[in-house]
Amino acid sequence: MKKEVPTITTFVVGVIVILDYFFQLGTGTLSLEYFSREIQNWMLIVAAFAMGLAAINLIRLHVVQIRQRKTGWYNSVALIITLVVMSIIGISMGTDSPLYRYWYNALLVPIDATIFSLLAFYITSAAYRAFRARNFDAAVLLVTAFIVMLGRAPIGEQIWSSAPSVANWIMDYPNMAGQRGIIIGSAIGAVSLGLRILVGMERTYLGQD
Amino acid sequence: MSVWDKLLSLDRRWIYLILFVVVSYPLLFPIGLPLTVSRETHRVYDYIESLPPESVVVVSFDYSPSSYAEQHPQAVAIMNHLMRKPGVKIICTAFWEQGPMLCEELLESIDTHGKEYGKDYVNLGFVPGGETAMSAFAGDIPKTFPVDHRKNPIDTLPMMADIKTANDIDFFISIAAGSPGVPEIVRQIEGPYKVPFAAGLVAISVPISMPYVQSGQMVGLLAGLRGAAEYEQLLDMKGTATVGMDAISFSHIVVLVFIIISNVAYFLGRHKGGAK
Repeated sequence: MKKEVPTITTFVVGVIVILDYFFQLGTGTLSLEYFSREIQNWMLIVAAFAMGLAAINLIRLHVVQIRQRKTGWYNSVALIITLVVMSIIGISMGTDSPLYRYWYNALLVPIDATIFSLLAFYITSAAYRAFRARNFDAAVLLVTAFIVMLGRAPIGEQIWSSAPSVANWIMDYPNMAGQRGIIIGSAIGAVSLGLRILVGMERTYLGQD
Repeated sequence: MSVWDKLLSLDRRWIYLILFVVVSYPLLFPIGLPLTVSRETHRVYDYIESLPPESVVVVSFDYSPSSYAEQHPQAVAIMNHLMRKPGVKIICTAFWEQGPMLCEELLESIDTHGKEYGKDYVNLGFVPGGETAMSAFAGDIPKTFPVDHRKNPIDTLPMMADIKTANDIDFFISIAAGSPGVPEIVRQIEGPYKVPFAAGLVAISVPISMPYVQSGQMVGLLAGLRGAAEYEQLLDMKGTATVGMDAISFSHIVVLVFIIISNVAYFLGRHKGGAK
Protein backbone atom coordinates (compact mmCIF):
# COMPACT_ATOMS: atom_id res chain seq x y z
CA MET A 1 0.00 0.00 0.00
CA LYS A 2 2.91 2.36 0.76
CA LYS A 3 3.95 2.07 -2.87
CA GLU A 4 0.64 1.65 -4.64
CA VAL A 5 -1.35 4.55 -3.12
CA PRO A 6 1.22 7.29 -3.91
CA THR A 7 1.87 5.85 -7.38
CA ILE A 8 -1.85 5.71 -8.26
CA THR A 9 -2.43 9.19 -6.77
CA THR A 10 0.47 10.58 -8.82
CA PHE A 11 -0.88 8.96 -12.00
CA VAL A 12 -4.45 10.21 -11.56
CA VAL A 13 -3.44 13.73 -10.53
CA GLY A 14 -0.80 13.98 -13.26
CA VAL A 15 -3.13 12.79 -16.03
CA ILE A 16 -5.89 15.25 -15.01
CA VAL A 17 -3.51 18.25 -14.96
CA ILE A 18 -1.81 17.28 -18.24
CA LEU A 19 -5.13 16.68 -20.06
CA ASP A 20 -6.46 20.01 -18.76
CA TYR A 21 -3.44 21.78 -20.26
CA PHE A 22 -4.33 20.54 -23.74
CA PHE A 23 -8.11 19.88 -23.78
CA GLN A 24 -11.35 21.40 -22.52
CA LEU A 25 -13.64 18.60 -21.39
CA GLY A 26 -16.94 18.91 -19.50
CA THR A 27 -18.59 21.94 -17.94
CA GLY A 28 -18.91 23.46 -14.47
CA THR A 29 -18.00 21.27 -11.53
CA LEU A 30 -17.80 18.23 -13.78
CA SER A 31 -15.13 19.71 -16.05
CA LEU A 32 -11.52 18.70 -16.30
CA GLU A 33 -10.57 22.33 -15.66
CA TYR A 34 -12.45 22.35 -12.34
CA PHE A 35 -10.68 19.21 -11.10
CA SER A 36 -7.32 20.51 -12.30
CA ARG A 37 -7.82 23.86 -10.52
CA GLU A 38 -8.82 22.07 -7.30
CA ILE A 39 -5.72 19.88 -7.46
CA GLN A 40 -3.55 22.95 -7.99
CA ASN A 41 -5.15 24.66 -4.98
CA TRP A 42 -4.40 21.58 -2.87
CA MET A 43 -0.82 21.82 -4.09
CA LEU A 44 -0.61 25.42 -2.83
CA ILE A 45 -1.82 24.29 0.61
CA VAL A 46 0.71 21.44 0.64
CA ALA A 47 3.48 23.89 -0.43
CA ALA A 48 2.55 26.28 2.41
CA PHE A 49 2.58 23.36 4.86
CA ALA A 50 5.96 22.24 3.48
CA MET A 51 7.44 25.65 4.31
CA GLY A 52 6.46 25.18 7.95
CA LEU A 53 7.85 21.66 7.87
CA ALA A 54 11.10 22.96 6.39
CA ALA A 55 11.43 25.47 9.25
CA ILE A 56 10.96 22.70 11.84
CA ASN A 57 13.51 20.53 10.06
CA LEU A 58 15.98 23.40 9.95
CA ILE A 59 15.61 23.96 13.70
CA ARG A 60 16.11 20.23 14.43
CA LEU A 61 19.25 20.13 12.30
CA HIS A 62 20.79 23.16 13.97
CA VAL A 63 19.85 22.05 17.49
CA VAL A 64 21.91 18.91 16.81
CA GLN A 65 24.79 21.12 15.58
CA ILE A 66 24.67 23.12 18.84
CA ARG A 67 24.33 20.08 21.14
CA GLN A 68 27.30 18.35 19.55
CA ARG A 69 29.35 21.58 19.45
CA LYS A 70 30.17 21.02 15.79
CA THR A 71 32.38 23.51 13.91
CA GLY A 72 30.58 26.85 13.59
CA TRP A 73 27.88 25.86 16.13
CA TYR A 74 27.53 29.52 17.16
CA ASN A 75 26.23 30.28 13.64
CA SER A 76 23.44 27.79 14.36
CA VAL A 77 22.60 29.72 17.55
CA ALA A 78 22.36 32.95 15.54
CA LEU A 79 20.16 31.22 12.97
CA ILE A 80 17.73 29.82 15.55
CA ILE A 81 17.48 33.12 17.44
CA THR A 82 16.76 35.15 14.29
CA LEU A 83 14.35 32.51 12.96
CA VAL A 84 12.38 32.43 16.20
CA VAL A 85 12.40 36.20 16.72
CA MET A 86 11.40 36.99 13.13
CA SER A 87 8.66 34.33 13.23
CA ILE A 88 7.22 35.66 16.50
CA ILE A 89 7.26 39.27 15.27
CA GLY A 90 5.89 38.32 11.85
CA ILE A 91 3.06 36.16 13.19
CA SER A 92 2.06 38.38 16.13
CA MET A 93 2.54 41.85 14.61
CA GLY A 94 2.43 41.13 10.88
CA THR A 95 5.10 41.37 8.20
CA ASP A 96 4.16 45.01 7.60
CA SER A 97 4.85 46.04 11.21
CA PRO A 98 7.68 48.59 11.69
CA LEU A 99 9.63 46.19 13.92
CA TYR A 100 9.55 43.35 11.39
CA ARG A 101 10.48 45.69 8.56
CA TYR A 102 13.32 47.15 10.64
CA TRP A 103 14.83 43.69 11.15
CA TYR A 104 14.25 42.87 7.52
CA ASN A 105 15.77 46.06 6.12
CA ALA A 106 18.56 46.43 8.66
CA LEU A 107 19.68 42.81 8.79
CA LEU A 108 18.48 40.54 6.03
CA VAL A 109 18.75 42.91 3.05
CA PRO A 110 22.34 44.08 3.67
CA ILE A 111 23.60 40.62 4.72
CA ASP A 112 22.05 38.91 1.70
CA ALA A 113 23.26 41.60 -0.70
CA THR A 114 26.77 41.51 0.79
CA ILE A 115 27.12 37.76 0.38
CA PHE A 116 25.99 37.99 -3.25
CA SER A 117 28.32 40.93 -3.89
CA LEU A 118 31.31 38.94 -2.64
CA LEU A 119 30.97 36.96 -5.86
CA ALA A 120 32.59 39.88 -7.71
CA PHE A 121 35.81 39.28 -5.76
CA TYR A 122 35.74 35.52 -6.24
CA ILE A 123 34.98 35.83 -9.95
CA THR A 124 37.88 38.25 -10.49
CA SER A 125 40.27 35.99 -8.59
CA ALA A 126 38.99 32.89 -10.41
CA ALA A 127 39.27 34.62 -13.80
CA TYR A 128 42.87 35.54 -13.03
CA ARG A 129 43.78 31.95 -12.16
CA ALA A 130 41.65 29.90 -14.54
CA PHE A 131 41.10 31.98 -17.70
CA ARG A 132 44.25 30.93 -19.54
CA ALA A 133 44.65 30.02 -23.20
CA ARG A 134 46.11 26.60 -22.43
CA ASN A 135 44.68 25.04 -25.63
CA PHE A 136 42.54 25.98 -28.63
CA ASP A 137 39.18 25.46 -26.83
CA ALA A 138 40.28 27.55 -23.86
CA ALA A 139 41.53 30.26 -26.24
CA VAL A 140 38.14 30.41 -28.02
CA LEU A 141 36.34 30.69 -24.66
CA LEU A 142 38.78 33.35 -23.51
CA VAL A 143 38.44 35.53 -26.61
CA THR A 144 34.63 35.18 -26.61
CA ALA A 145 34.34 36.10 -22.95
CA PHE A 146 36.72 39.01 -23.45
CA ILE A 147 34.64 40.48 -26.28
CA VAL A 148 31.30 39.95 -24.51
CA MET A 149 32.60 41.59 -21.32
CA LEU A 150 33.93 44.51 -23.31
CA GLY A 151 30.69 44.83 -25.26
CA ARG A 152 28.50 44.75 -22.16
CA ALA A 153 30.28 47.51 -20.24
CA PRO A 154 29.77 51.17 -21.26
CA ILE A 155 33.54 51.72 -21.19
CA GLY A 156 33.92 48.94 -23.78
CA GLU A 157 32.12 51.10 -26.35
CA GLN A 158 34.65 53.88 -25.72
CA ILE A 159 37.61 51.52 -26.13
CA TRP A 160 36.29 49.72 -29.23
CA SER A 161 33.16 51.07 -30.87
CA SER A 162 32.29 47.73 -32.50
CA ALA A 163 32.44 45.83 -29.20
CA PRO A 164 28.65 45.96 -28.54
CA SER A 165 27.72 44.77 -32.04
CA VAL A 166 30.27 41.93 -31.97
CA ALA A 167 29.06 40.96 -28.46
CA ASN A 168 25.47 41.02 -29.72
CA TRP A 169 26.41 38.76 -32.65
CA ILE A 170 28.00 36.28 -30.22
CA MET A 171 24.86 36.35 -28.05
CA ASP A 172 22.47 36.06 -31.03
CA TYR A 173 24.13 33.22 -32.95
CA PRO A 174 26.64 30.94 -31.15
CA ASN A 175 25.07 31.54 -27.72
CA MET A 176 21.50 31.27 -29.01
CA ALA A 177 22.23 27.99 -30.79
CA GLY A 178 23.86 26.49 -27.72
CA GLN A 179 21.21 27.69 -25.27
CA ARG A 180 18.38 26.53 -27.50
CA GLY A 181 19.96 23.09 -27.64
CA ILE A 182 20.20 23.02 -23.85
CA ILE A 183 16.56 24.15 -23.44
CA ILE A 184 15.22 21.57 -25.92
CA GLY A 185 17.38 18.83 -24.43
CA SER A 186 16.29 19.55 -20.88
CA ALA A 187 12.63 19.77 -21.97
CA ILE A 188 12.84 16.33 -23.58
CA GLY A 189 14.50 15.06 -20.41
CA ALA A 190 11.73 16.56 -18.27
CA VAL A 191 9.00 14.98 -20.42
CA SER A 192 10.73 11.63 -20.23
CA LEU A 193 11.15 11.89 -16.44
CA GLY A 194 7.52 13.02 -16.07
CA LEU A 195 6.30 9.99 -18.02
CA ARG A 196 8.45 7.64 -15.93
CA ILE A 197 7.01 9.14 -12.73
CA LEU A 198 3.43 8.93 -14.05
CA VAL A 199 3.65 5.25 -14.93
CA GLY A 200 5.47 4.43 -11.69
CA MET A 201 8.85 3.55 -13.20
CA GLU A 202 10.57 6.36 -11.30
CA ARG A 203 9.99 6.26 -7.54
CA THR A 204 12.91 8.17 -6.10
CA TYR A 205 10.49 10.95 -5.09
CA LEU A 206 8.97 8.41 -2.67
CA GLY A 207 12.35 7.89 -1.06
CA GLN A 208 12.97 4.62 -2.92
CA ASP A 209 15.53 3.59 -5.58
CA MET B 1 61.02 31.86 -8.68
CA SER B 2 60.80 34.08 -11.78
CA VAL B 3 58.78 37.27 -11.89
CA TRP B 4 56.22 35.44 -14.08
CA ASP B 5 55.78 32.70 -11.52
CA LYS B 6 55.34 35.32 -8.81
CA LEU B 7 52.69 37.03 -10.90
CA LEU B 8 50.85 33.75 -11.51
CA SER B 9 50.79 32.94 -7.81
CA LEU B 10 49.73 36.46 -6.80
CA ASP B 11 47.99 36.46 -3.43
CA ARG B 12 44.26 36.75 -4.03
CA ARG B 13 44.00 39.45 -1.36
CA TRP B 14 45.86 41.83 -3.69
CA ILE B 15 43.27 41.12 -6.36
CA TYR B 16 40.46 41.79 -3.88
CA LEU B 17 42.08 45.03 -2.76
CA ILE B 18 42.65 46.33 -6.29
CA LEU B 19 39.06 45.47 -7.28
CA PHE B 20 37.69 47.13 -4.14
CA VAL B 21 39.61 50.37 -4.77
CA VAL B 22 38.82 50.51 -8.49
CA VAL B 23 35.08 49.84 -7.97
CA SER B 24 34.80 52.26 -5.05
CA TYR B 25 36.24 55.23 -6.96
CA PRO B 26 33.42 55.67 -9.54
CA LEU B 27 30.81 55.07 -6.82
CA LEU B 28 32.23 58.00 -4.86
CA PHE B 29 33.04 60.15 -7.90
CA PRO B 30 30.68 59.19 -10.77
CA ILE B 31 32.03 59.77 -14.26
CA GLY B 32 28.84 59.28 -16.27
CA LEU B 33 30.10 57.19 -19.17
CA PRO B 34 27.69 57.30 -22.13
CA LEU B 35 25.41 54.27 -22.47
CA THR B 36 23.76 52.82 -25.57
CA VAL B 37 20.29 51.40 -24.97
CA SER B 38 20.03 47.78 -26.10
CA ARG B 39 17.18 46.64 -28.36
CA GLU B 40 15.88 44.22 -25.66
CA THR B 41 15.44 47.08 -23.17
CA HIS B 42 13.95 49.32 -25.86
CA ARG B 43 11.33 46.70 -26.69
CA VAL B 44 10.13 46.57 -23.07
CA TYR B 45 9.98 50.36 -22.91
CA ASP B 46 8.16 50.64 -26.24
CA TYR B 47 5.63 47.99 -25.24
CA ILE B 48 4.75 49.73 -21.97
CA GLU B 49 4.65 53.05 -23.81
CA SER B 50 2.10 51.61 -26.25
CA LEU B 51 -0.25 50.30 -23.54
CA PRO B 52 -3.66 52.01 -23.72
CA PRO B 53 -5.42 53.31 -20.57
CA GLU B 54 -7.20 50.62 -18.51
CA SER B 55 -4.54 48.06 -19.44
CA VAL B 56 -3.74 45.59 -16.66
CA VAL B 57 -0.06 44.93 -16.00
CA VAL B 58 1.27 42.34 -13.56
CA VAL B 59 4.70 42.97 -12.04
CA SER B 60 5.96 39.85 -10.31
CA PHE B 61 8.67 40.38 -7.70
CA ASP B 62 10.49 37.08 -8.09
CA TYR B 63 13.78 37.97 -6.46
CA SER B 64 15.29 38.28 -3.02
CA PRO B 65 17.62 40.75 -1.28
CA SER B 66 20.66 38.80 -2.56
CA SER B 67 20.14 40.26 -6.03
CA TYR B 68 18.75 43.54 -4.67
CA ALA B 69 21.58 45.69 -6.03
CA GLU B 70 21.10 44.38 -9.53
CA GLN B 71 17.34 43.87 -9.72
CA HIS B 72 15.66 46.38 -7.45
CA PRO B 73 16.66 49.25 -9.79
CA GLN B 74 14.97 47.29 -12.62
CA ALA B 75 11.77 47.05 -10.58
CA VAL B 76 11.98 50.74 -9.64
CA ALA B 77 12.42 51.82 -13.28
CA ILE B 78 9.58 49.60 -14.56
CA MET B 79 7.20 50.67 -11.76
CA ASN B 80 8.06 54.33 -12.34
CA HIS B 81 7.15 53.95 -15.99
CA LEU B 82 3.89 52.16 -15.20
CA MET B 83 2.93 54.75 -12.58
CA ARG B 84 3.44 57.49 -15.16
CA LYS B 85 0.99 55.83 -17.57
CA PRO B 86 -2.49 57.24 -16.94
CA GLY B 87 -5.20 54.64 -16.39
CA VAL B 88 -2.87 51.65 -16.38
CA LYS B 89 -3.69 49.21 -13.55
CA ILE B 90 -0.77 47.54 -11.77
CA ILE B 91 -0.91 44.22 -9.94
CA CYS B 92 2.17 43.38 -7.89
CA THR B 93 2.58 39.74 -7.02
CA ALA B 94 5.38 37.36 -6.01
CA PHE B 95 6.28 33.72 -6.43
CA TRP B 96 9.37 34.28 -4.27
CA GLU B 97 8.59 34.69 -0.57
CA GLN B 98 10.47 37.95 -0.11
CA GLY B 99 8.92 39.66 -3.11
CA PRO B 100 5.98 41.37 -1.32
CA MET B 101 8.30 43.12 1.15
CA LEU B 102 10.46 44.40 -1.70
CA CYS B 103 7.33 45.59 -3.49
CA GLU B 104 6.08 47.44 -0.39
CA GLU B 105 9.45 49.14 0.03
CA LEU B 106 9.35 50.19 -3.61
CA LEU B 107 5.78 51.50 -3.42
CA GLU B 108 6.74 53.71 -0.47
CA SER B 109 9.73 55.15 -2.32
CA ILE B 110 8.26 56.13 -5.70
CA ASP B 111 5.87 58.79 -6.93
CA THR B 112 2.53 57.11 -7.69
CA HIS B 113 1.43 60.05 -9.88
CA GLY B 114 -1.97 60.16 -8.21
CA LYS B 115 -2.67 56.45 -8.50
CA GLU B 116 -4.50 55.03 -5.48
CA TYR B 117 -4.00 51.71 -3.73
CA GLY B 118 -6.85 49.33 -4.52
CA LYS B 119 -8.15 51.44 -7.40
CA ASP B 120 -5.06 51.63 -9.62
CA TYR B 121 -2.52 49.33 -8.04
CA VAL B 122 -2.40 46.46 -5.54
CA ASN B 123 0.17 44.25 -3.88
CA LEU B 124 -1.33 40.75 -3.85
CA GLY B 125 1.59 39.24 -1.95
CA PHE B 126 3.26 35.85 -2.15
CA VAL B 127 1.88 32.44 -2.91
CA PRO B 128 4.02 29.31 -2.41
CA GLY B 129 4.19 26.46 -4.89
CA GLY B 130 6.40 27.80 -7.68
CA GLU B 131 5.19 26.75 -11.10
CA THR B 132 1.93 25.28 -9.76
CA ALA B 133 1.22 28.59 -8.04
CA MET B 134 1.74 30.40 -11.35
CA SER B 135 -0.72 28.07 -13.04
CA ALA B 136 -3.25 28.53 -10.21
CA PHE B 137 -2.80 32.32 -10.39
CA ALA B 138 -3.35 32.36 -14.14
CA GLY B 139 -6.49 30.21 -13.87
CA ASP B 140 -8.18 31.89 -10.90
CA ILE B 141 -6.65 35.03 -9.39
CA PRO B 142 -9.22 35.66 -6.59
CA LYS B 143 -9.01 32.05 -5.43
CA THR B 144 -5.21 32.06 -5.40
CA PHE B 145 -5.09 35.43 -3.61
CA PRO B 146 -8.26 35.74 -1.46
CA VAL B 147 -6.58 38.63 0.42
CA ASP B 148 -3.84 41.04 -0.65
CA HIS B 149 -0.52 41.56 1.15
CA ARG B 150 -2.13 44.26 3.33
CA LYS B 151 -4.82 41.78 4.42
CA ASN B 152 -7.64 43.41 2.44
CA PRO B 153 -10.11 40.85 1.04
CA ILE B 154 -9.63 40.89 -2.72
CA ASP B 155 -13.34 41.53 -3.38
CA THR B 156 -13.05 44.87 -1.53
CA LEU B 157 -10.43 46.14 -4.02
CA PRO B 158 -12.28 48.00 -6.81
CA MET B 159 -9.65 47.40 -9.50
CA MET B 160 -9.82 43.61 -9.00
CA ALA B 161 -13.57 43.43 -9.73
CA ASP B 162 -13.08 42.53 -13.40
CA ILE B 163 -9.70 40.81 -13.15
CA LYS B 164 -10.27 37.10 -12.68
CA THR B 165 -7.81 35.15 -14.82
CA ALA B 166 -4.69 35.68 -16.94
CA ASN B 167 -7.05 36.40 -19.86
CA ASP B 168 -7.72 39.77 -18.17
CA ILE B 169 -4.01 40.66 -18.06
CA ASP B 170 -2.46 42.74 -20.86
CA PHE B 171 1.20 42.49 -19.92
CA PHE B 172 3.17 40.35 -17.48
CA ILE B 173 6.57 41.45 -16.20
CA SER B 174 8.69 39.36 -13.88
CA ILE B 175 11.76 40.65 -12.11
CA ALA B 176 13.20 37.16 -11.91
CA ALA B 177 16.36 36.02 -10.17
CA GLY B 178 16.04 32.28 -10.78
CA SER B 179 13.49 29.52 -10.43
CA PRO B 180 10.52 29.93 -10.57
CA GLY B 181 11.16 32.51 -13.25
CA VAL B 182 11.19 32.88 -17.02
CA PRO B 183 10.68 29.27 -18.23
CA GLU B 184 7.86 28.67 -15.73
CA ILE B 185 6.02 31.86 -16.74
CA VAL B 186 6.42 31.00 -20.42
CA ARG B 187 4.94 27.55 -19.75
CA GLN B 188 2.08 28.56 -17.47
CA ILE B 189 1.08 32.11 -18.42
CA GLU B 190 2.56 33.34 -21.70
CA GLY B 191 1.95 30.11 -23.61
CA PRO B 192 -1.54 29.00 -22.56
CA TYR B 193 -3.07 32.49 -22.16
CA LYS B 194 -1.03 34.36 -24.80
CA VAL B 195 -0.14 37.13 -22.33
CA PRO B 196 2.74 39.31 -23.61
CA PHE B 197 5.67 38.82 -21.26
CA ALA B 198 8.93 40.58 -20.41
CA ALA B 199 11.47 40.16 -17.61
CA GLY B 200 14.20 41.85 -15.67
CA LEU B 201 17.02 39.38 -15.06
CA VAL B 202 20.32 39.06 -13.27
CA ALA B 203 23.03 39.43 -15.92
CA ILE B 204 24.19 35.84 -15.49
CA SER B 205 20.82 34.39 -16.53
CA VAL B 206 20.44 36.53 -19.66
CA PRO B 207 22.12 34.10 -22.13
CA ILE B 208 19.77 31.21 -21.21
CA SER B 209 16.72 33.49 -21.64
CA MET B 210 17.71 34.99 -25.00
CA PRO B 211 16.04 32.20 -27.04
CA TYR B 212 12.67 33.21 -25.55
CA VAL B 213 13.17 36.77 -26.83
CA GLN B 214 14.19 35.62 -30.30
CA SER B 215 11.22 33.23 -30.52
CA GLY B 216 8.81 36.05 -29.59
CA GLN B 217 7.76 34.41 -26.32
CA MET B 218 9.25 37.41 -24.54
CA VAL B 219 8.73 40.99 -25.65
CA GLY B 220 12.16 41.93 -24.32
CA LEU B 221 14.28 41.89 -21.18
CA LEU B 222 16.36 44.06 -18.90
CA ALA B 223 19.83 42.56 -18.56
CA GLY B 224 21.21 43.10 -15.07
CA LEU B 225 22.12 46.50 -13.74
CA ARG B 226 22.90 47.72 -17.24
CA GLY B 227 19.33 46.97 -18.30
CA ALA B 228 18.06 49.04 -15.38
CA ALA B 229 20.44 51.89 -16.24
CA GLU B 230 19.29 51.81 -19.87
CA TYR B 231 15.67 51.97 -18.72
CA GLU B 232 16.46 54.90 -16.42
CA GLN B 233 18.03 56.66 -19.40
CA LEU B 234 14.87 56.10 -21.46
CA LEU B 235 12.79 57.51 -18.59
CA ASP B 236 15.24 60.40 -18.18
CA MET B 237 15.71 59.59 -14.50
CA LYS B 238 18.96 59.29 -12.54
CA GLY B 239 18.64 56.24 -10.35
CA THR B 240 21.00 53.90 -8.55
CA ALA B 241 21.58 51.86 -11.71
CA THR B 242 22.96 54.85 -13.62
CA VAL B 243 25.32 55.59 -10.73
CA GLY B 244 26.40 51.94 -10.59
CA MET B 245 27.22 51.66 -14.30
CA ASP B 246 30.61 53.35 -13.95
CA ALA B 247 31.50 50.81 -11.25
CA ILE B 248 30.39 47.99 -13.57
CA SER B 249 32.62 49.39 -16.34
CA PHE B 250 35.60 49.66 -14.04
CA SER B 251 35.10 46.18 -12.61
CA HIS B 252 34.93 44.71 -16.13
CA ILE B 253 38.17 46.48 -17.01
CA VAL B 254 39.86 45.14 -13.85
CA VAL B 255 38.83 41.58 -14.76
CA LEU B 256 40.02 42.02 -18.37
CA VAL B 257 43.36 43.51 -17.28
CA PHE B 258 43.90 40.64 -14.84
CA ILE B 259 43.09 38.11 -17.56
CA ILE B 260 45.66 39.76 -19.87
CA ILE B 261 48.33 39.85 -17.14
CA SER B 262 47.65 36.24 -16.23
CA ASN B 263 47.95 35.06 -19.86
CA VAL B 264 51.07 37.12 -20.58
CA ALA B 265 52.71 35.75 -17.43
CA TYR B 266 51.59 32.22 -18.35
CA PHE B 267 53.03 32.34 -21.88
CA LEU B 268 56.24 34.17 -21.03
CA GLY B 269 56.78 31.97 -17.99
CA ARG B 270 56.22 28.82 -20.07
CA HIS B 271 58.57 30.18 -22.77
CA LYS B 272 61.27 30.48 -20.11
CA GLY B 273 60.47 27.02 -18.78
CA GLY B 274 58.85 28.23 -15.57
CA ALA B 275 55.07 28.33 -15.32
CA LYS B 276 52.90 25.35 -16.30
